[in-house]
Amino acid sequence: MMECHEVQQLLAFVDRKCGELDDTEREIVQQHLDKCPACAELARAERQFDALIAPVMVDVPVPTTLHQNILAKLDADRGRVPWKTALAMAACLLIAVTAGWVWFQQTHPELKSADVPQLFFNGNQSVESVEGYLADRGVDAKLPGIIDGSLLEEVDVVHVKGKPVAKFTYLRIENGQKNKAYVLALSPRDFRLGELTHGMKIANMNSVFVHHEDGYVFIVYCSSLEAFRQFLKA
Amino acid sequence: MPWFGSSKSAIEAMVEAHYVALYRFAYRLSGSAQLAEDLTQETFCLAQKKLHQLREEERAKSWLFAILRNVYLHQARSSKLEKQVSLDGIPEIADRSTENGAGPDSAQLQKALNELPEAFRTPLILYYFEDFSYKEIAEQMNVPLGTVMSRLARGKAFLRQRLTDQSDLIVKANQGEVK
Repeated sequence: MMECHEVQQLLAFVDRKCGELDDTEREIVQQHLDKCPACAELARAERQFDALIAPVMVDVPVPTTLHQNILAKLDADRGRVPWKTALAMAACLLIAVTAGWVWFQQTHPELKSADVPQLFFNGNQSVESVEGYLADRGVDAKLPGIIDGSLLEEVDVVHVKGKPVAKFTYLRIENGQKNKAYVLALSPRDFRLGELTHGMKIANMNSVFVHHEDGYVFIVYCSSLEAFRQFLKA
Repeated sequence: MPWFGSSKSAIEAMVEAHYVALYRFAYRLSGSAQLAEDLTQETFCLAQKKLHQLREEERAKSWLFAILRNVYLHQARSSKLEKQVSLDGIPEIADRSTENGAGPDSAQLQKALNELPEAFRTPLILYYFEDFSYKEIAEQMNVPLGTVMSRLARGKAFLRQRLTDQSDLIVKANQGEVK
């Protein structure tokens, strides 16, 4: 036999449509209510109160336009980007633009007049000014002492095995005919001598000679050895 | 992946099936037709976004009710709408001796509901809607089953006291014939 307090706890479940009590439990409660007037009165009052409240609770008129309004809102919402996503996208875009701008600035330096290389020299340039010009550009070089410095026409920087190397261009005009000689000055600071010995002629190349002077290796390019002799100091 | 069809057809099927119940819940929860419509729309918008989180079709209704309640609580916190009325003086077992069989009208019931804190109001509304078991109400509110039962008992006692105390209760002529 179930006690009154147990039945009173189960009363909340008895009439539920959700089937929270099975048939056996329902039968046990009912048997108690049949024999206990106090609990029966409690159950009656509970049912009466619920019967008064339940229909009023669900008596809420629903606006006729609600269904359409919800669908319209859903449609509008589908095309809308949530603000957190929009913020993340904006942040990504800003980072990408900034990174692109920085990359562009670094890979495309602004040109200024001071950046224009001074390529042409005339014979009046001193040895010191030429070598100073190269040193300013991180190139260790010296002019070959055996060549007439007044014939120096141009100084340039080329790369050999990834290292900057001075390239001198000499010009000699005789009887209206122009002859040029090119010299690469390889610094002992940057290279080992290797097989390039003084006086050798580079195999398989026309008129390319090796000259050693003060530790520097000079590679001389000229139309012929005879023609190169015209560039030597008197 | 949504649990059936495309996400658009899935959400529209949900709207069709549950918008009336959701609106009624929202109305009883907020006490305002305008707020109820806003809450219902916002609930479906959130459900559309989070549809992938719903794994079981049969839990859709419970899921939607839980979303609506969260939206309401969020808004209530923001606008300080939610009242904190103490139910300390209300026993779980109410005095039923004063009942006269009269029923309140919808506005009177709403007025009494509005005085209840949300923690008591929600189980009471869901109880009378009879759409969910106590276990489902407990899950929706994320509280133990015993807490739901206790709040429900005290909520009903409060309701009984408020509605019985009102002098303008309409005494039904056909007392005892309530279906």
